[in-house]
Amino acid sequence: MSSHQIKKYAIINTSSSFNSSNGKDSLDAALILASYEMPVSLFFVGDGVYQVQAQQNAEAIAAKDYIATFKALGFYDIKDIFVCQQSLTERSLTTNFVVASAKTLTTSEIKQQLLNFDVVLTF
Amino acid sequence: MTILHLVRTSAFTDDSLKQCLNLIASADQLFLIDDGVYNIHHSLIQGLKQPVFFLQQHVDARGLIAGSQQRSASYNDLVTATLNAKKVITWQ
Repeated sequence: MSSHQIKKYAIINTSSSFNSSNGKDSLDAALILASYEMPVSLFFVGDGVYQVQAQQNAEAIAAKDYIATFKALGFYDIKDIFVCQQSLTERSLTTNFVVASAKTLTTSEIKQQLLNFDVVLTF
Repeated sequence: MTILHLVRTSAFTDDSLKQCLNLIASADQLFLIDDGVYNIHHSLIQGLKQPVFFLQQHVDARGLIAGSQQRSASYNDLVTATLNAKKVITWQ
């Protein structure tokens, strides 16, 4: 049952994990939208790919460990998590993601995906 | 129906413009506003296929002289562009 119009949301993360609140704000937005039954997909491009790296340790810099919350995305039905392959390669990063279900896409695949959404937010 | 991409920051400062250009389709529209107007003289913008618009007031506010390649636009043009586009993505 939903009393509001369902819109498909894409959230594009372009910021690294801790240098700004963008990462945490983006995750908050995603969880809130999902709790209103909005289909949400997450994209990580540019420095945003740093957010999904495994083995991060927010406590080391006394930062809020919102990275751990990525594991709860499944409970919120957020299953489509895409990571830009070029951005990973540019940064010599592996595909060892904090979210196992995250998939890598090429830039053109991401461009294609974006056509499927009603709203696109960037953080 | 195309996507309208708004870019609000300078590519001399961050890579928002670069991220936008990575994901922009040839039919999409690129609109520079606020500090994004500094990009009118950035190498990423020269020789772009898509039309590049900038908000004239924001260029004037910053004392910039626009090149001929890009197209000056007014607030009305910006509003019209948002209405015509299928969706708007803001890069900042």
